[in-house]
Amino acid sequence: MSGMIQTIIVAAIILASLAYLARCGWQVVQGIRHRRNTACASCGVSSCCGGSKGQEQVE
Amino acid sequence: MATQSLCFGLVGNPNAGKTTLFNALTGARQHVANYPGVTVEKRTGTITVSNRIIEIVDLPGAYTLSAHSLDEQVARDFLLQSSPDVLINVVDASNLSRNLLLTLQLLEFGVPMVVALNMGDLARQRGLAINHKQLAGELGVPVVPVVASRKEGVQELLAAALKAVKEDPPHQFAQVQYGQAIDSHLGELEAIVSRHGDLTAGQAPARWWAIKCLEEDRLIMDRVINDGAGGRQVLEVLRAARKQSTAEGKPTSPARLISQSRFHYAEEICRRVVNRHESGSRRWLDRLDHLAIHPLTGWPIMMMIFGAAYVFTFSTANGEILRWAGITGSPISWIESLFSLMAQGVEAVVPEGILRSLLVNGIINGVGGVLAFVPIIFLMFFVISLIDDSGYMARLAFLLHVPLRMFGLQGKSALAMAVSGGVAGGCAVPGIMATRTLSDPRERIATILVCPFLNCGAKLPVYAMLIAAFFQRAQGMVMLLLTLLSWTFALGGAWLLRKFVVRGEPAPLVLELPPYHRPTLQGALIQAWSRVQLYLRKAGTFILAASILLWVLMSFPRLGAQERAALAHNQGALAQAELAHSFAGRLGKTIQPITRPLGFEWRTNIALIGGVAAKEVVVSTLGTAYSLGDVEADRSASLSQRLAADPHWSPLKAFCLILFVMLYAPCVGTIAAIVQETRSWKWGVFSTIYSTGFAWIVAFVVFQGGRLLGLGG
Repeated sequence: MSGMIQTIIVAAIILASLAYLARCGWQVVQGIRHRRNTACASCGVSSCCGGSKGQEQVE
Repeated sequence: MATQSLCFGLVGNPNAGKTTLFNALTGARQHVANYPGVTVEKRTGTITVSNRIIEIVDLPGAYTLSAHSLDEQVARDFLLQSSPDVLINVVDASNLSRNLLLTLQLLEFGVPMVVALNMGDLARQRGLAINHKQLAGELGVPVVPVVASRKEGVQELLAAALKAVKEDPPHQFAQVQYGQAIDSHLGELEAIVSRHGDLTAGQAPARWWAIKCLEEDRLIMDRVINDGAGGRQVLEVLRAARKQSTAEGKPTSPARLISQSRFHYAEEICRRVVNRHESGSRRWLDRLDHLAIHPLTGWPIMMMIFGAAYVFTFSTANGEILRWAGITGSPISWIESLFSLMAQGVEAVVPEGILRSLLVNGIINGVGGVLAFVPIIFLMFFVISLIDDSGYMARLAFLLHVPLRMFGLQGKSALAMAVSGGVAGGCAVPGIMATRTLSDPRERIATILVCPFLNCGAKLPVYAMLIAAFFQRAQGMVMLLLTLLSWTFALGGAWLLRKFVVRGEPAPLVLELPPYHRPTLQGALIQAWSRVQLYLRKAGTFILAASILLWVLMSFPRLGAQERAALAHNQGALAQAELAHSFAGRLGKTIQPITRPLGFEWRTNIALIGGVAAKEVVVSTLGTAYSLGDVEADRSASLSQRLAADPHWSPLKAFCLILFVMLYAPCVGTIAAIVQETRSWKWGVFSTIYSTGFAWIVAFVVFQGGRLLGLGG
């Protein structure tokens, strides 16, 4: 595997990670702004909504 | 095709089983536990029955409709503003008279209602036989016996609720007689409220408003004071009522007379519908309960329970119990070996370069270090679920009430703190939300700010890794010590806050002690597995992304060609120099003057910065840092083994790092929860600074004190 291909793969992984972290940060900000609980999305905690989505919503 | 949409509200006392019934009705999997105050938000679920879409709303538990705390306010706002078609009042049959106090208040709302008489099995165990038909006659509403945990009676309850919607006019509800003095004023107030429609805005019947006026309910009084003519008339009647309210010849308040009347009425109903006979098991449980909450015996029992839980967790995860069965190795070492094999596989396939470094140092050594502790997470949640389901947590809160009061908090704070990780493995986010059950706002702020001091599940891998490296002989006992220390620091932190920042006297404790349940193995396994799934999900998403980002920060910029050539003969020194030259290395070295007095070196500083995103990242970052900067190390060695072999580390330094991780800045998710719950960025920022300052002082005192005592350094 050439150095160039390695660099491209690594860059793609880094960009995807950055995009994911940015999304998490955005969800936290949105959660604070709209007083919604975004703990599930931001830190994976489920105790507050049971980790279940779909038929119930947390206000 | 569904034609009509209805709204059913689930209302009841805390710990009456509303969420269990909600789950049984909707098929949801909301978190339930055997202590009050688990639900602090309203939740909705939708079901379709006989072509009707029914929205089921699970409300937080409430003892009254006077909204003393935020969770009670959620329940009352729903009743006032959402006009439910039917109220399903969930009543704990094993504690009927206390539950009926709320039922009588709900009847005053005039909304069609059905009583779900839950936990009949428990009532029978306690020697109580309830005639539900007679109870229905007394209350004037249908009463359906249910056992929500086994989904018994759920369909009958739905059918009764649907029938209650259709009934026009509705049932003739029971009405509490408050005595002549109150009833005459009640009549006057009812007439005033009926004349001034804008006072009630069409919410709830005039009688309910009149009662709330006499109870001098905060929200109602605000409205009354703002309503010109009607308000003045109400205040005049209230003045007269206050003058005439007496109990046994002594002056008292109308509110007190009203609550006494309700209490007597509920007791009277119970006398007629409940048949009691003492059972042997009940007497035995009562004796056990007495021991569990007694100040002399309660503390040793608590230490034994948690000590046994931690010893079981660590000795099973580390293979000590398996060795008795002739099995070598441990669940943790098997996972570490798996990741070691993966690293070797990657090294065999991917040629040397940045991709291999990312995969091996960034991902496998980073995330792998976190995943190695899955067995501890599973076992810890398993034993905590058993304790949780048994009903012991409320006893713990009761036991802690006296010491908590000395530090300016109260027993209900203990429940929020236990959820946050007071018994190791919780999470500060739901803990902070659980503070809504506290009625005093200053007490609530103090509790919110110390919740992150407790040992949440994210800190467990950090502790487990350092304990395995430096305190191998007494792992369970060290964990018990850390639990006690986290409580001590949380109480100390709360005392400082109550003394200097949010001053005030602690509120009295009103806490229900739920009955003991026999925890089920299946329930505990499901709880533990669901937490492991979340841990795996978090490791595979957020921690993975954070580890990759930290790998970038620890790998770039690279050393110049000249410097590399100069160190080419010593690969270990080159790797160290590369890491020191990186963005993260420079940052770690920049803050070294601040952390050196605590015994931390620059690689630890990098991990601590990463830990603000999520505490597990401390482990993944150390994994990457020690892997990147130590190319000559044994690839199969775990992070614990690498740290134990590193001359920069000592048990004292490891202990100081554990204390610092326990106390320093909360993770981003917790800071967001603090901002959300306090509705102020100020407290989010304050919490970060306060916690980090507190952590620094504690780690400094322990490290420098330890050095003076010759414990290493």
